[in-house]
Amino acid sequence: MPRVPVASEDERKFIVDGIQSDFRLDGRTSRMYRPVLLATDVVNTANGSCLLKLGGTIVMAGVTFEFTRTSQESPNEGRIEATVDGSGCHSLRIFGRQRHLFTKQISRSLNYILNNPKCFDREQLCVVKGHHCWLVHVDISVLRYEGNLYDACSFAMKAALSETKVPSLQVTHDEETSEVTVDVCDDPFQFGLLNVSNLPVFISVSQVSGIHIVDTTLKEDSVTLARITYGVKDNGNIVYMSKDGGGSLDLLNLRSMSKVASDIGPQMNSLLLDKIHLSKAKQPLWGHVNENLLFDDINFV
Amino acid sequence: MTIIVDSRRINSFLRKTRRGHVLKTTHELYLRNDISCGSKLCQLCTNETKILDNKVNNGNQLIPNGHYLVVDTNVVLQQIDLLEDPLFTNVILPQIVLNESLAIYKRIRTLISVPERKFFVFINEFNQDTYILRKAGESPNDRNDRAIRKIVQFYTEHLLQKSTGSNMSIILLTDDMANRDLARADGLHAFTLKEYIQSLNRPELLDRLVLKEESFDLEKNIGKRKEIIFPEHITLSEIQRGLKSGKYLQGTYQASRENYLEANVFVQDSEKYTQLFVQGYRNLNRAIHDDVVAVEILQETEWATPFSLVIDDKDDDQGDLVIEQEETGLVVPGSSSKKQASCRIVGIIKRNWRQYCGILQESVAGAKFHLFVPHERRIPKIRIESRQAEQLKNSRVVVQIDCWPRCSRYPQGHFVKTLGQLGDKDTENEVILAEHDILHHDFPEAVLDCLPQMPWKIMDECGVHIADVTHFVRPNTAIDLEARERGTTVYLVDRRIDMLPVLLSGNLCSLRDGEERLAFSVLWELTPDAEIVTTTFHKSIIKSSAAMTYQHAQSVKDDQGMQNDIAKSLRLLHLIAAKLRKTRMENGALVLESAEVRFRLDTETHDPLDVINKELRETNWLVEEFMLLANISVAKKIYELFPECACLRKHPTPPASNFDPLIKAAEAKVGDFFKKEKHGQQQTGHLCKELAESLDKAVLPDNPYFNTMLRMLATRCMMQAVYFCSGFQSEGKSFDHYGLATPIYTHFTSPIRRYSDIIVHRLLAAGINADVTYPDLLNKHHLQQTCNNLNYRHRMAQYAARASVDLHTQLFFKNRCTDEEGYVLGVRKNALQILLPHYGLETTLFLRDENGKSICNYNEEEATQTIKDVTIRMFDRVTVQISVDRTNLQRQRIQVRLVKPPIDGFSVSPVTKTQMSLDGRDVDDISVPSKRIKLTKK
Repeated sequence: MPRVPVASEDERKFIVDGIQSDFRLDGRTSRMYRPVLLATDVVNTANGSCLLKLGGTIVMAGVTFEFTRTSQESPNEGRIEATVDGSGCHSLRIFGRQRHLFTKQISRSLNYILNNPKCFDREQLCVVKGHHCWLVHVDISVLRYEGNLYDACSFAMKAALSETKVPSLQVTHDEETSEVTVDVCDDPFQFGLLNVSNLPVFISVSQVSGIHIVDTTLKEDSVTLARITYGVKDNGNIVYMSKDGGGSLDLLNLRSMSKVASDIGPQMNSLLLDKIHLSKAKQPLWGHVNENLLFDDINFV
Repeated sequence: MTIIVDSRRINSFLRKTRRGHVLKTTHELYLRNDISCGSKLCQLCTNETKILDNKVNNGNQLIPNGHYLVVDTNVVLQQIDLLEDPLFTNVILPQIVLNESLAIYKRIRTLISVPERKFFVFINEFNQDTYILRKAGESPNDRNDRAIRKIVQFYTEHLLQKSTGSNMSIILLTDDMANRDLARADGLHAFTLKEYIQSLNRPELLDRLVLKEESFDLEKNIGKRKEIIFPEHITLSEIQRGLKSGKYLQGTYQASRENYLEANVFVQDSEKYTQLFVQGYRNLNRAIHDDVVAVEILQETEWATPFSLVIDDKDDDQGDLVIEQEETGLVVPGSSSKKQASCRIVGIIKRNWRQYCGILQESVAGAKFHLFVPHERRIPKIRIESRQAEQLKNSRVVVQIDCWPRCSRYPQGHFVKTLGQLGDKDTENEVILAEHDILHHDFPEAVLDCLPQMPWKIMDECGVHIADVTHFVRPNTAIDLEARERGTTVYLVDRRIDMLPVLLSGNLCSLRDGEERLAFSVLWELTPDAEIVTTTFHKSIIKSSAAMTYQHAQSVKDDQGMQNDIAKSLRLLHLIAAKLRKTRMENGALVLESAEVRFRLDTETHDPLDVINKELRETNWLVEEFMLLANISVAKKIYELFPECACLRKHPTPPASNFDPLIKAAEAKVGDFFKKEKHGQQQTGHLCKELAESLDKAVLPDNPYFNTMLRMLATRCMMQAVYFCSGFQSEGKSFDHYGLATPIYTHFTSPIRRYSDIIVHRLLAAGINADVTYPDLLNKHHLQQTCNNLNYRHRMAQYAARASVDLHTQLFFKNRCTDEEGYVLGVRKNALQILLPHYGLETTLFLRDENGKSICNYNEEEATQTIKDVTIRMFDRVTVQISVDRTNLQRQRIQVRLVKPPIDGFSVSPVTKTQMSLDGRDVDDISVPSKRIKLTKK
């Protein structure tokens, strides 16, 4: 959570007062998210991609596949790796090492849930057991920052992965030489899909003077003392948790914050699924492009 | 027209890179609506380029009201020979077809560039009306076929709608039946090429149709029982795997000249075998000379012995079923010691088919299929379909192989063109040039444009002096590229095919006397004992005092009455040259012989009148010595300057086993001859020297020609000298030139007729700061590639020259029948190789009576033949009668019959001497280039 002095002392007091009377600076209640807008298949060169807007925060995610050998420890699993890059984003307000640390922290959190077998089945990335597997890169770029990058990144990752077209391969196994050759199927209409139904989304809950609020904006961040990011699956189970910010939290607070997260998590998951489903219908046909995609909100769902 | 068109299309696909990565590649394309259809009928397309005619009629009866042709990829790729016929005009060539025709891209481009042919390239992939996206489940080929159909549809609608009153049709030509039928289902006109041509009433075009394996059905066409003869070729991926695991080996297939059922495979990278022997039909398995093949080594018990009989393929069409007997008759019993490592061919990696010259074999009148006999003996006969066999009976024709089905004894091909009448000298010359792949087309305009304007004078600029060809042939100009491709000038008996245009070779780069010329000079300071003190290299301008022939120079030198500068310097040069020569001989240089003759030609017809043995004068080797010295000096210098990219020439030391036949033959006559075992382990220089000495000693007083013959045999033991790039000679760094016994050698002295010399000139010039380098010059891969081409061209030029001499010898004997003294140069199982020194001719004397039955008794150990009670050994002197065998008009050949020693029932009686004019006046001989001696004014 970047601590940026965006508000003066008086203004901060105003924000806190508003939150206490359930009127946040932009008029939301404490449990309300800003609108999520999604467009999928926006990068032609990637195997799966999406552009996601969470209020003013905009991130773009691209999934690319690389062909590689399986590792010895897990011969029947592929590898997946997420990176968050904020280098092009001026509105992130922090620079240099700080910015790097911040984005890296998000990457680490995303990688944690990706590598948890209960959240993501990496066996679906294996091509030939013990031989070949996919190395999947999930590259997330921050285009604009207006708070709550954690949640936005996890939404974008889930949307991009669920839209990803896995290249279909023809595997031939030579009995004699026990050699395995893999060839690419050149039909662009043949592809596989990834199973991301178990993948959690991040719900960040902040505590501002005893009140728990979600989806904080940049200004609200400056009055937040502590924040916990939860990874919540669609059934409400919490599989990941990390604390951020300097303030302390007692057990009671922790409990009620978890309650908030596991309440909102399933709603957010189903909302995202709906959006992914809707945006697939809006994708351009194969071979065509939607020229105005990035400029026009009507292309988003 | 808008600046930004909202018609972007994305074509993305996956591909696997060579290193195994899977990449998603995305191509963007922008579709346009202003692309011209190219027809003069059309009033909508505003573009200038309109080349398709208003009215078309080539006599086709399918669509009598005129039509444009749209050609499919398979037609262009396979039937380009036919498309080149002027009959095909007003052809619409879709862009996707052009993109896929890489193999013949140059030829198709040439076609397009001829305005009269009216080939229009229609850009369909960027056209909004004809662009199509791939559908689900559609293969790329299906998609392209659909795109072509879309073009036909587009044109049909486009012209119908816009043209006023014209009823131009569009015809799709495709050999893909599925595509044709789909097009017909769409209501379009579509035909296969065969259907189209059949309606034209031009039977000769049908001959040129490429036969396809599946379309060729023996059963139906000839009515014979179909039977698989050859084993199936394995697939390329299987070959790759086999090569990796060592199960198969890769090699170049070289068919035997003497026996059509034998061949050798030269293996490239195996430690165990370099040469493998192949025998028998099934083992040869449809490989054709020069193919790159995959072979499997046979069990040692199955190894075969080369058959020393000279066997021709039978003259008549054997059909497909007789191979069994042919094969069993070939197995050589016993003599297991002579068995060679044998293999069988399992697959073809790369066909190296080209177009072959030859003649049609006579067959039953009215037959549809004919056998074609190639000029090159190592190529099997080819079965072609022709309706004009009668007209082609006595002509040389060119044929292309299409395929070799498993059930056919002969490969199948199609007729390409005829070269002319059989026996006609121009035709035969054409055959020689075509067969040896000698580029003999006229110099294109772009090449001639590289020449300076005449009259030409030296601009203000300033040893062995070699004309500075590189001044005129600048790197990467058209003239340079052409010369690089040609590689060498080719000398035929009555014709010379220049590497560079004649303005250079005959004038600007000829050091004429009294004229200033640019030159590249090597200057030495020599001690009286001909030891080099210093060597310098210069670009220079020289003015020759005299240009002399060898003969002229010889007479000037010998005439003691002449005491002018020229005569004196000639004598001095001669002195030095003699010393140089002596040193070289002591180092073990070889003097090898090969019979060289020149013809005295009729000034008008260029027909040979007489044969003269080439005479070598003192001045010949005077010049030779200095040339060698220059070459060696330059070789050292460029290697010192550019160790990684010097263009050098090496003559590898032949493996000791190469000398076996020579030693065996010589020992029978002179006893102790050159024991290689004794020297086997010694240095190559010694081996070479020993051989030279042994050759010098081997003289028989009663047989003056014996020594010469030994030297000729020795020449045949040698390896080919080759050009190479010094950076590629990693192992051992041996640049030895075996024949000249020098550690390093190159060619510097004839840039006008050899491209290697041009490279050497450039390297040297760059090294002495007389010229600039360019990237290709210092690129060793590029240089090695050039060297490979030069070696190929050089070899082919030699073969062509030899073939030309053979042709003229045959012409010479056409109306003669004469007795000539000859020597036995080789004893074979059923024949004698006879050398006729006067004509430099080597012929085969078959030892069989009129019925073809053998009459001789072959002793393999001593290599002798006993006929009745006469025993003939190697090197024996015999008298033979030479004439041209005209019993078979199609295949005239020189035939020899034994006269002396007389053998009852076999030899013939001598003829009375025919008068032969031997006076050497008015000799108009075009000969191998004689270097002229240049003397320079200091």
